[in-house]
Amino acid sequence: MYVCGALATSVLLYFAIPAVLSGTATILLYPFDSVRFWLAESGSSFPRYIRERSVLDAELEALKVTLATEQGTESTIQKLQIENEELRRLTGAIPDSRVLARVIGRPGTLPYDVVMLDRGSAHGVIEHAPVYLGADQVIGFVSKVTAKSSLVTLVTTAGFSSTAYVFGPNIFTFAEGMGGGVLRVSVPQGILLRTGDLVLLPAIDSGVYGTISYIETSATQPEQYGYVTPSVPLQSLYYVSVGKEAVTTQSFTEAELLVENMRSTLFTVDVPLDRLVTPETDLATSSPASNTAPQLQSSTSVVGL
Amino acid sequence: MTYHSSCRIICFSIIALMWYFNVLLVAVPLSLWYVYQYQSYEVIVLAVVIDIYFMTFSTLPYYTLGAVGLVGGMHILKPFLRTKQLL
Repeated sequence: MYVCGALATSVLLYFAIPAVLSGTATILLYPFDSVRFWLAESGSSFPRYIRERSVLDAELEALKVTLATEQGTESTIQKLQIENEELRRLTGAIPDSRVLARVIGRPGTLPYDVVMLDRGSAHGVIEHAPVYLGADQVIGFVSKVTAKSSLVTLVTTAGFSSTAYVFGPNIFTFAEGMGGGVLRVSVPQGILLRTGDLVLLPAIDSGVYGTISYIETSATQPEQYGYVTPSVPLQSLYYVSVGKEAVTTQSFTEAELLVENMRSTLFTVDVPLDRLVTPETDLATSSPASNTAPQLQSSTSVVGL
Repeated sequence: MTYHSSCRIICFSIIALMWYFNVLLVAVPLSLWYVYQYQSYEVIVLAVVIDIYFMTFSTLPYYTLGAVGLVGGMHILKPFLRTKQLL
C-alpha cells in the first residue's frame, strides 16, 4: 500500500515538478523576456532609438573605416602626383650631362650636414661633382662616392664659405653655411638688401642657390646679414641631379661673365624665330641665325607668345 | 656567451644604429648608461668610424670628441658614482 502511494507520488512529482519549475521560471523571467522583446521588436520610439543607435553605430564605424581607406588612397594619389610632377620637371630639366639621383638621407637623419644619394660611381657619379636641385639650383657637391651611393656636402654646412653674388644690390660677397639648408650672406650696412633677392654661387655654372628670405640688421652693427634658403626645404628633397663633371675653380673674370649671362638669361625666354617679332638689326646683332628669321613684321620688339 | 656579454652586444648594436640614424634622444641616454655600465672603449671606435664615413667637410669630428669625452669623463666620475661599492 505504502509502496503504491510512494510510486504514485514519484510519478506525479516527476511530471508535475518540471512543469511547475518551468512555469515558475517563465513567470519570473517574463518581465525580462518582455523587455527584450520590447527592445528587439517593438515599434515604440525608445526601443527603436536603442535599435537604430546600435545600427547607426555600426554604420558609423563602417563609414569611418571607408573614410580612412579613402583618405589613405587620396594621400597615396597625392604623393604619387607630387612625385610624378617632380620627376617630369626633373626629366625636362636634366640634360645628358647629369645623373638623376634619389635622396636617401638628409640632415637630421644622418650625422653631420650631408645628403646621401642612391647613385654612386657605378652610375657615373664622381667626386666634387656639383649637385643640383631642379635645373640650375646648386645645393652642394659630391664629397664621397661609393659604388652605389654618394655623400653630398651642402654649401650650407656650418662653416662652409663660398663666394656669392646677390642680385638686387648686384654685389659679390661671401656666403657662409649655417646648417639646415640655410646660407648667410653678410654685407656692410648701407647696402640695400631685400627679401626675395636672388643669390648666385658663381663658382659653379648656373649656380643659383635661392632667395633671401630673412634679413638681420642692427644699426649698431657694422654689417647686416641676409639668410638664404632654397625654394625646396631640405626635408622635402627627394630627387636631385648630379653633374658629370667636377667643379672647377673659376677666376673672377669667369665668375663675372657667369653673373652677366645669368642676369640676362633670367629674363630671357627662348622664343622660336617664327614667333619672334623684332627688327632685323636686333636679330643680326643678337643671333647669328637672324638671316633665316622669317616674317619680320614690325620695327618694335614684340614677343608674341 | 654569458647573459652580460649578450646584453652588452645588443646594447652596443642599438647604440650604433641610433648614432647612425642620428636619433640623439635615444642615443645619448643609452650611451651614458652603457659607458657607465661597461668599460666601453668600443664607443670611441664607433664614433671614429662614423666620423670617417660621414664627415665630408673639414670641421671638428664631433662624434669622436664626444665619445672620448664621454668615456674619459665617465672613467673619472665612476668612482664617485659608485661610492657604495667602495665601502
